[in-house]
Amino acid sequence: MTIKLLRLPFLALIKIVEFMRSNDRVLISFCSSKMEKLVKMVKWHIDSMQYVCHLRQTIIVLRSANRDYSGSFIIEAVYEFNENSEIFTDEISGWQYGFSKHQSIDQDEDSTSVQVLGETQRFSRMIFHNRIRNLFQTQPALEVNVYPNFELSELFIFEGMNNFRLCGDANHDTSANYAEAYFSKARNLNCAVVSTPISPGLSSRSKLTTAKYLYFENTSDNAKTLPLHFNGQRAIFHRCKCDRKTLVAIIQRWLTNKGFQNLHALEINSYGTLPHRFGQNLPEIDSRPWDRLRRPEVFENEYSAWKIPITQPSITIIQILKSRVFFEEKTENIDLVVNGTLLKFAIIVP
Amino acid sequence: MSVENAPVVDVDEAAIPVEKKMYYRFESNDKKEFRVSELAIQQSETLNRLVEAMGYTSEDVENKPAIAIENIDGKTLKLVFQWCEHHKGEAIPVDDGSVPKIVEIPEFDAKLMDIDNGLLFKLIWAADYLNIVQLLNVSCKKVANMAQGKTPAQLRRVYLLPSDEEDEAAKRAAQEAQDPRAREVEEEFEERKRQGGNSFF
Repeated sequence: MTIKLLRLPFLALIKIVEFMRSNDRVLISFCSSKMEKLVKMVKWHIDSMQYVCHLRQTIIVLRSANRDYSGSFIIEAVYEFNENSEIFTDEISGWQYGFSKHQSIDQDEDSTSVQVLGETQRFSRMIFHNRIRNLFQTQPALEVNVYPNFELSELFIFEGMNNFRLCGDANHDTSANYAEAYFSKARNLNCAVVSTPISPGLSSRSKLTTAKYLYFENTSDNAKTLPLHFNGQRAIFHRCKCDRKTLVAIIQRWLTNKGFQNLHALEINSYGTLPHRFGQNLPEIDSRPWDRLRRPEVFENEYSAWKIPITQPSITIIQILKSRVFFEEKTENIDLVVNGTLLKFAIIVP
Repeated sequence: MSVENAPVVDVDEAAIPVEKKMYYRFESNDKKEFRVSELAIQQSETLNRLVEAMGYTSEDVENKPAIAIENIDGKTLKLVFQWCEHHKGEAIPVDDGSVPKIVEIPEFDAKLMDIDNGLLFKLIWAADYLNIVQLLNVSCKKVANMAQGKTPAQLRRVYLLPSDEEDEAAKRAAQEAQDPRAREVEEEFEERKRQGGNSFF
């Protein structure tokens, strides 16, 4: 069954390309220069281009809010192309690729398997990556998601890859060396997500402290160093083993302006038993019970606030937000006066 | 062909009160005539504007000749009007391009488009010409689905896409067809090159 695609009216042609899944769109752009130009003209609804690295496979996922538009490519390095694959030669670079439909039942059925030859894989991967990137009018966010079972020497980082995720199981620790080696591959770490526990604890000079945005799902003992030395804009640390000493150190560092210069928000979700009454139990930071009369609302924009919701006895969330004040129900507030600056703590009790 | 023998598109009699029924008569380029309800015509922006501009009354419809649609054949037009009758009264989708379009092919449309690709090709042309947005969407979606799971070579075969070399050759052939002297000049140039000449002139 054939149809003369290029003889259809232009509006229909654009719609047809627009309705194709992402991997079909990419592959049709490989057919000729004319098709490549056409694909470039069509709007893509792709939110991110993710590289998922698991075992020996690298999967490029073109992710869209609408699943109909998503697609993926499974990149494999081989010594020679499989018999059932179609060999495609890039006319400009001369590099070859083996294309076939991915057969595995446990993978997304819309995947396309792309084989690259082992000895030239660095270049052929880069050209394949660039060919896809060049098809977008607006570049989607580039992300790399690595599982700790992936050999880092086989990880290729392309220009503009600044969003790094270290995936994994909450019950299996990943070595700190592996995590550090992985995140150090980023030139400028924009967004870092860590979902696996890391042990032993990362150092205070960890690459993760330089991330602009950091989300740590199983922080555990890393809570003693990472929140204190975080130098980005926003960070969320979950499941922290955060003791009182660390908490005081964080607050003092922030109050004395010795750190957190770029900070917009910091949230610490702790297992630890933190003092319920900050006004009485943290004399190191000169806190005192909150008094609304002492601070009229007109000063609202002149001081910063910490929001500390205690959701259950064993979990405490500390949130630092610059230039914002929360007036929420069930809030126990305390005042902080440090170096003449008015500060407010908000402790939210369920 | 007389109106009595024309392939009338099925209409849901219960859906429209008898006294309000208004039909238009259209004729394809192979002289096949169709009677289509006013509500169904609204799916086509082109036809809707045309009948509005003509200001037809029910008497005019019977007395005046059928409206000719010159560049669509009867087989295609029958499919178009069947689709319009089935979807009459439905809202016409507006595409502002801001969000990805979600196009599902309903069962009726899938059956209607269970045709050979030659006819599907004509149906897309007709939907585009008559500006029937949703019919164009579903027919284009069907063509887009043909790409699923294909490699570049398979896509070339399915969509009859010429390679760059074939495009170049076709372009050259077209140029030569326009200017036969160009071929002679090229041959002469090649001949001189073979003889070792440095300059053409």
